[in-house]
Amino acid sequence: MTDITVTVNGVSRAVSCSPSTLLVHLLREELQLTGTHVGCDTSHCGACTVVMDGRAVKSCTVLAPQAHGRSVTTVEGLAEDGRLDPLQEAFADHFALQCGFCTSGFLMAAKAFLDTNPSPDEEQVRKAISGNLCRCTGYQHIVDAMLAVAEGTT
Amino acid sequence: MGAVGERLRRKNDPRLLVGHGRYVDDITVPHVVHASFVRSPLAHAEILGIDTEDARRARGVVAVFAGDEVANAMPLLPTAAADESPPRRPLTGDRVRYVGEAVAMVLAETAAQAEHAAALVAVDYEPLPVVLGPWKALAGDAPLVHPERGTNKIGEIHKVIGDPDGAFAAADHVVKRRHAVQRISASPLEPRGTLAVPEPATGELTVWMACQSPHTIRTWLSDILSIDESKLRVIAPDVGGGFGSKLNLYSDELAVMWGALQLGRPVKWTETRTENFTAAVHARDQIHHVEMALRADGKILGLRSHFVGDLGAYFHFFTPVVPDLTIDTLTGNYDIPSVDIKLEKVFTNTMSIEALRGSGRAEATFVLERMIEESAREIGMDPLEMRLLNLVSPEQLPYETPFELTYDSGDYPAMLSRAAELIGYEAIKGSQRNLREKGIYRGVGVATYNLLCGFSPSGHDWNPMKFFPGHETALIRVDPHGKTVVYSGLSPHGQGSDTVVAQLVADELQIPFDDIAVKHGDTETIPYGGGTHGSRGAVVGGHAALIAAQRVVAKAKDVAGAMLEASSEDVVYEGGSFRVAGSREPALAWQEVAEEAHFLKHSGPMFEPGLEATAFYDPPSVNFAFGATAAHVEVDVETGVVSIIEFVSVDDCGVALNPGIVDGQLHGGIAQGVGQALYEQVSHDEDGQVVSASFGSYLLPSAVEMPKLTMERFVTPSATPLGVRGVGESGTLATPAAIVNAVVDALEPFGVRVEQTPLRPNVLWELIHPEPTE
Repeated sequence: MTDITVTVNGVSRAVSCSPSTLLVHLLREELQLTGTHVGCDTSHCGACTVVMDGRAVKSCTVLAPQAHGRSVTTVEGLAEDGRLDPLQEAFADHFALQCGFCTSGFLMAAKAFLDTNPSPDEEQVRKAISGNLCRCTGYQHIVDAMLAVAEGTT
Repeated sequence: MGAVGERLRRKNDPRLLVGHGRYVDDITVPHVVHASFVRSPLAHAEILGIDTEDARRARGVVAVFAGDEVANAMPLLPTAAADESPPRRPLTGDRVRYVGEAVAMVLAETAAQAEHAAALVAVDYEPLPVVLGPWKALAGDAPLVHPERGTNKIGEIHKVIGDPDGAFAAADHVVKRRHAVQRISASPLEPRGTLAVPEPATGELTVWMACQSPHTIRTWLSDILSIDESKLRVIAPDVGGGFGSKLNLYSDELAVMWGALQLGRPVKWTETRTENFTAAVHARDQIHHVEMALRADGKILGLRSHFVGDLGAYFHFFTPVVPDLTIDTLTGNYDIPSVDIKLEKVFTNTMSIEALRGSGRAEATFVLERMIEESAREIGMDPLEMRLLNLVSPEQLPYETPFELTYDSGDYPAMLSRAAELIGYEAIKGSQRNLREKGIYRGVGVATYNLLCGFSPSGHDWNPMKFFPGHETALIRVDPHGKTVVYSGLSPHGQGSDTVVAQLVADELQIPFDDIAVKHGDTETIPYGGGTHGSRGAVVGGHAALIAAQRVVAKAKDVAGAMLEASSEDVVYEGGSFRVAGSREPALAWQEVAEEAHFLKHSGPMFEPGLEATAFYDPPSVNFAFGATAAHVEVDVETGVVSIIEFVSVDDCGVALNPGIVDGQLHGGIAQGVGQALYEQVSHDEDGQVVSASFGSYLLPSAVEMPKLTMERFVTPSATPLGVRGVGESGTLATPAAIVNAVVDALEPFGVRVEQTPLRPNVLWELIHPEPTE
């Protein structure tokens, strides 16, 4: 077992885990943050995307010990003090989610992207979320929501 | 202002957006054990022996179930057309018939331990010859999937309507083509999952399951597990998409429940994506040989298709009727008086074919719209013009198709013309020559659809299941504060039906949308319903809610009448308050009546207390939604890569209860159609291995592959109280043909003959650059 300390959604968490534990399993099972989802076993779907030190990462491709000393934000940490992030508001306004299973991953990928690219065009937005799969929406409403946040219209 | 027709935010979003959704894998209970399955790596083999010793001794293992004796002690799975269906049990002990078939189940204290131990189960297989491909399966010397049947052929349907022989004899042109619709996977982002919790003291069983129709599952479980329905509770919690693939009761799911009953302990199983590609149902997989008889001016006189449906190795819930639906919808929106359609269905060593968004009808739409395209090109006519000549005109409505379906209303030619206008059909055609001189190959394609949906009434032939209702239910319960809960038999898993039900109930009860909660997906609280599938949410479930709401209002009038000392017939309810007609007396508010209905403080025992009503609604007939699509594409002839420049969808789903939700349904369907046209295919190698068992090889479109969608709506209310039409499956129908037609148009100078999809770059490149023939 390995002792690690990870800041998750602003709170420092000391946990003991097997060196082979994936970050996604640490989040879901140890920390009971089940908003991060597992949609595949080959790192293709992006449902498990979280933000680690400002970058979007697929938490199934990160070993929990690699997160030691780092800061991880999951979908549960996106709203601050009960106030939804503009992205969350925009997703609701634009019908950017249906079954909701991929949504956390999209929100986190979108968050990391827009934080560093505040004024993207549509092509850049589409590219930014091309590592995430959605089977319900055809992406149109997700793109609309991200552009609305970028344009400050949500 | 009414709620219906407004883009109101969805009821479920607040939870889902903050990560508080609860999907099966998020739910756990004390004392749970985890299941992992040993699955067949071979498509066809005899099982000579199974050694489970190492697995049983592995750390954390609680039980291992395997072998003929165990399998035969398990209940039979429910299937369509039970008389014709080969028996299927949760585990197979003697023979495997497709890659992914469950052979053993390991239960252990953790999921990782179960997975580890499953890898220690040694199965001794004697490989058998594999039969793949529907035409090969029909050959006299083909290996048999079920030897006791003596043939792989399941049945044959031959429908001859009108005078097809006369039509073909009189035709100026006969165009012949082959069209294959490949096998695809539903691929909901949430894989399947089951958590079964037994209560040995009472014999009760509670099952959380990623499913689309919890009551159907409960009734089947009762039947096959011999547990009273009163002791069974099936819960569909948040479900991460289904698209038809979660409509079944699967072998692995039943094994989990059976294992829980054996152990008297909760058992949980979460499917991996790799498993989902082999152990969850597939769809489509038809090959058509089509002939179209045409008059010199392009009028279609007759249609023949001899087609074969590869149904896989077993029946699930709807397996054998999926291709039947293709027959009945093969003339689409077109006036084709004479048809001769022959269907043969076969078993092969593959996973079963099942319902998948648009099933049966999507295949029909593709074949028809490709065939019209090819026919127009062959006789030198503009494909758009040929369509406009042959579409059923508004003057012909109501129109009875050769298959006795009655189209009620709409304007198919106007919708197609509008789609062509929006995409810039003429401009694209006009610029092609100049672009081609620069090496740029662009094309435009169109296609129309008519979605048969809201399958009903319950007793109709296309329902092959003993236990599967066509009706839908709603219980509306108003509390003393006037707030309202709708318990809907629908089981939405992304469609937003809960939201639209709340909207229409809000208007009927004349109370705020926010005062209404909608509950679904739990057999303990919901009246017996059919669930969510076949574009039935609004057209069937919506009307159940409407009728229940009307009954609640009638009851509220009784209460108000008692309070106002008037006959309830004289009570008028408008603007959210009750008055006696013609009276200037102060009116009663909804909340006052709701309170009085429960406590009878002012009116004495003049009515039965309470304010609630239940409605069961079995529609008298099916419902139709229709539309037209247009695609503008560019093909890179050096690489074979197709880019969709623009996609237009013009849809008529009648009254749109929530336009944002309707658009989302259409977008999602279109994306699945794009996948079918260009990327998605369940591929088998010659041994029957599934070589597309990950998202790395089974390619869903991403946001980059999807074009910006241009949507426009026509509104022709259906002849139902709400005026609604289905919409959930609409996008899947015409999209693939429109894209392929556009690709064919772009590549006109190369004269490519497209007979199958998906049009991946390697496929198109080979069509563009054929091997030189001697």
